Amino acid sequence: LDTDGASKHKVESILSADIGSLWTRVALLDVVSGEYRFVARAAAPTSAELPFGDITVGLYNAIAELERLTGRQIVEEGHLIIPQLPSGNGVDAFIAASSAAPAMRIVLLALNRDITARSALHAAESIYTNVLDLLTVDEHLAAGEKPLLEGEWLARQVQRLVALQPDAALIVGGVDGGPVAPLLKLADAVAQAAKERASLEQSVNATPSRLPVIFAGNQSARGKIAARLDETTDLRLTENVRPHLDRERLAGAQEQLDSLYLQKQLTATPGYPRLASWTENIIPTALAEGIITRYIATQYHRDVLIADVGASSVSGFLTNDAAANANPRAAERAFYRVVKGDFGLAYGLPNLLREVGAAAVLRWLPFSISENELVEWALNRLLRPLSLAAEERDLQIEHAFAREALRYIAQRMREQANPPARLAYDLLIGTGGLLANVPRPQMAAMLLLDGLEPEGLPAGSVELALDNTMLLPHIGTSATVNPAAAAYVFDRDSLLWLGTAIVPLAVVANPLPNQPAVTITLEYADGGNPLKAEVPYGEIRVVSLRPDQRAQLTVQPGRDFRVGNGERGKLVRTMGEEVKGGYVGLIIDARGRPLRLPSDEAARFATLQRWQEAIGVVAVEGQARPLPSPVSSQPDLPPLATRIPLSPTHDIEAEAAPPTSASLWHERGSESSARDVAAEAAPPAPAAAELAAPTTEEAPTTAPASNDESLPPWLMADELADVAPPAPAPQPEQAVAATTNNQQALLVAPPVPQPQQEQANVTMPPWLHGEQTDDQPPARPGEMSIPPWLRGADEDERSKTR
Amino acid sequence: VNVSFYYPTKQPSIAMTTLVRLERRLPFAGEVTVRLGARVEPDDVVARTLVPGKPMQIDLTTILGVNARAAARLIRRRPGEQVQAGDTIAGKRSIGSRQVRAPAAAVFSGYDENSGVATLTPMGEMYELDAHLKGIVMEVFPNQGVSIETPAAIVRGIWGMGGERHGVLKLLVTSNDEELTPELIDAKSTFAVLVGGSFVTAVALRNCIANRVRGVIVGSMPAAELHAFLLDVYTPAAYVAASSLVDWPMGRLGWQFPPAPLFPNLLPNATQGNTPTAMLLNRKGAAADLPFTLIVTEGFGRVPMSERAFELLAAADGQEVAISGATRLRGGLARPEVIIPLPRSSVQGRDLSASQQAPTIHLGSTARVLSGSYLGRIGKVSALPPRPQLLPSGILARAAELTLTNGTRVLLPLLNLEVLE
Repeated sequence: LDTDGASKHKVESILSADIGSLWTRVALLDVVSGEYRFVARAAAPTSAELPFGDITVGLYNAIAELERLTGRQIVEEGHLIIPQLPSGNGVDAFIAASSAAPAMRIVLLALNRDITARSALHAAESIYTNVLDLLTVDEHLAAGEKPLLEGEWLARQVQRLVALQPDAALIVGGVDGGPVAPLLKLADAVAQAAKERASLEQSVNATPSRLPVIFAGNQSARGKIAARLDETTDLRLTENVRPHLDRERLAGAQEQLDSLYLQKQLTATPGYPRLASWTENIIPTALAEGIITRYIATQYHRDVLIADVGASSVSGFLTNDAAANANPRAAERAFYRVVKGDFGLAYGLPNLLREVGAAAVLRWLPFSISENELVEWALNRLLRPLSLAAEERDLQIEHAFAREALRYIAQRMREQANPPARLAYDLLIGTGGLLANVPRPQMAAMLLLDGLEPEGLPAGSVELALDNTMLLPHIGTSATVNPAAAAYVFDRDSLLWLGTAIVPLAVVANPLPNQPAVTITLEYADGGNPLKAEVPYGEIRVVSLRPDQRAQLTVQPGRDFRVGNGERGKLVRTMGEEVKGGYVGLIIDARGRPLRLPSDEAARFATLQRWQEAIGVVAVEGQARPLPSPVSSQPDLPPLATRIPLSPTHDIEAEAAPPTSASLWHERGSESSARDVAAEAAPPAPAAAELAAPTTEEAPTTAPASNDESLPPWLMADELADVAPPAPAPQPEQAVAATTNNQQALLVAPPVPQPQQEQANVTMPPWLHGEQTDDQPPARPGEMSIPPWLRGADEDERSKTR
Repeated sequence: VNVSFYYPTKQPSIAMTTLVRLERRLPFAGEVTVRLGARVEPDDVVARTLVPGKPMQIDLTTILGVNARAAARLIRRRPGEQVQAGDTIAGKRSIGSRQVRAPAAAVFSGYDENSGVATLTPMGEMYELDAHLKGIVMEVFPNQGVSIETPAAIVRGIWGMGGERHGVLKLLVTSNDEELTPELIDAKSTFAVLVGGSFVTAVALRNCIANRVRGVIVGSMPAAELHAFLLDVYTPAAYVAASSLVDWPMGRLGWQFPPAPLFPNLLPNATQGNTPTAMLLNRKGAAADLPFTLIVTEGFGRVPMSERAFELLAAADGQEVAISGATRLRGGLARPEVIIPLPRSSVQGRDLSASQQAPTIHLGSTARVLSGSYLGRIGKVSALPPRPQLLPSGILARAAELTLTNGTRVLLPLLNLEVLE
């Protein structure tokens, strides 16, 4: 399509597609009431396989659904309408992220099984790969066999390499300046296998292809490696993954693997040429998620971990300042990316089960099933990957697998982390089909806590959020064409806040169970009665703190405990800042790190049951009562730096230069998106009106009702739940101005006075239950609580220009 | 909307009368041996080609006891030269010195001076493609193959093993929830395609091999029984060798399901697929075919065969059927199938084009349950709420109420249903 035409226009409306192995999701971003907003999204099963064999079929289905929801025509006679027409039909840009291609099958070759091999694995597990095997020079010795003759070793490796049919090979080994000869043995094996492969292909008249080979080992071997491999393979030389024994440098190898994936795997997706004719902006979903991770880090100075549990891949992205803190000269933030292909909750189940073992999955189930039943469950899901967990039991099993997938990712990250084995982050975001579709947000919180075991480093707390709209990949991709749009949509529309978790850590090896791990005191900013709760070691508790609530928090760790990097038993509290609520509340996870489950089955069931009840049913211990002593009178307490409302480092608008003319914004808003949306729009939701007492001129437009009779059956619940622009953040402008430059008065709307009991119910938004009684769309209270620290600094400026 | 996502065609997975058109293609170019419009029987050869052999690697340095460069001087053949079995490839010309001989008739492809390995490509052998199905040749793809058409009843399975076979259908059980026990399989089952009810065990499958059974169609199979059976057929060493392919870095792989080479087509990460290279590699070696074809209609476990499928197969008892166990989940979807050809006269004048399309769900549709505790059950759609429903698990999704054959009403997500008609 005419993408040149699009570039002449300002990119305002963006159609974004995320093509997964099971589902194709599309989202429409556009300017609504003068702001970039998420307008609507839809999904359809991916059509990469027969009888379609073309991903664009599923994409058309998803777009058709989007058209139906928004009343806006996007496709005409099989082509996208680009750029947007004055009538409002069409979009200015189309972008896509994809993880639909099967993982890249890769063989690692290393000198031996230890350090460099591990670095090779770390590099390989950063894009959708399936590591088939590791070949080493000394493996027969490691296996206790007698030394092999040189030729025997070679013949054996060549045979293996040919049989494995890898898509690529990664050769590593040696520190820079180390011995070269053993590396050449590896190169010989690859060269030989590549030749054999070519001769096989030639013998059937196929055009022989060259095996892509990445060399990321001892740099002094480059010349000799090239001499051996240049002729027979598609050789790519890059920096050593282990230049020194104590240093790992993955960037070079990762870059080569990324480009290889883009060139070979992505383009091999059925229907890719057609998709590529629509847009040049197609990137692997993992890269889109990496972009958004970096964005959050640079924009908000947050140490963030994003975990994505998908059908055929599981990935984790972490960026933090830990390295910079340890070594002030390291100016850059550390960025870790772990992507495991062919590993997930549908097509990836066999590999997941094989890696972690059935016993690891079974321990998360609060009921007894045999290993055999679990394997059969996994195999049946593999055979029909689109199945939904209809019964409670299925959901529990699915979630047990998800926990282990997350744990695998966390483990891989710990291996790479600096300092080793500790992962420091204070914002944890879950995404992917399973997490986005949990029936209750409490389940998502529990999955993230059990799977990733956040330690609340360095400050003592970690905020949990859920990308329940599955917008993160879209936002990451749209950042490539319009960073401002990405920033706005991320700020306003993407996350559902689950709550803040406080994690007391034991400083002794085996603390006595049931001794108080932590005592917290919560003073609600809206003036309700303060609340005090004591949580014993081994337990998890939730204290009510709604998404729209803020509170001062005092944390008194028990004798053998600390929070974050604080001192043993030392009291910490928020100083001027406040902790933020969420749909789960304030979570106190005193279960210890690492998590330990009783080995006795009955005790384990009871423990799991207790934990699940504690977090699922909002359990406030005892009645709220006044604080016994004014803790704030202790002046020199270290701040519990939980939520510092940070201003963004730079102005988004200045950087990306979105339209500033008020009339243009208005025109686009009223004539196209707003009007089209209005076709289905319902009046502002009552809850929104209630909470946002002082409304601004741009009255919130709300989600249209999903009351259409002709919904396709594959349209899932969540696709229905959020269509169209959710209510813009209801903060009055004064409040916004106040929050951007100081750390007080974060409360945005007048609190709704409610007895304690009712607060418990509020944490479960009605639209998650699906208990809609009329055709009015439920309010999305989640949108009410855009965190001040996530708001762009430009917000108040733009408010003035309006 | 097509609500079945798991089959390579849009046809319903169980159909009493439909039109089957089967494409038969050679792995690489060859010769088509039948003409357009010809009537073919299952065993008729429709195309053939010469398949080159798999290259052999011969390490000259070990045999000759010299280094790679020295071995290069001892080579007695030029690249591209044909050699017969036993011909000398390399060695000193003096009497009594070590010689390297060709193990089979082949072409000497070359020698690698770095590794000391010589490559021989054996002469090709004839590959003949049969019709597999009784029908009429409706299309000829020059040098590649044909398409054969016949009216037929069809039952698709969800997974299977073993290649294309044909034989006479033999019903061994009286109901869809009856196990296919080892005692039921005896000499009378020879060359037959057996129809069981719910599941089958390793012992029964071993009986099938002993009695030269051609095919087994059952509702389900316990994973542990499959494991036991495969260990039996493939010897522990071969099985472990195959399972340890990815034996790193997490340690042992104790998983019960055979990964890659044994069944390259079943696992999603095995993309060997249909490429000529893959076919060459698989032709000999680990992916050896089972001596019979197994077709499972519902899944793993001990689940009765879907009533519909069982009734259809039972009605066809004694008829000649064509079966295939090929299963691939990604990268070229393939599912096992049982094709029961019907006489042309039985469908004379009927329009079968509708049966080629996916049925859509509506009130009164017949549907099959695809997962959970009702796996395989058949029912009629008795309610189809337009809005998403709250499932027992708490998930909100579009769902249908299904009235099962025993009268039970259950609410199931549409994604877990397959519409049959």
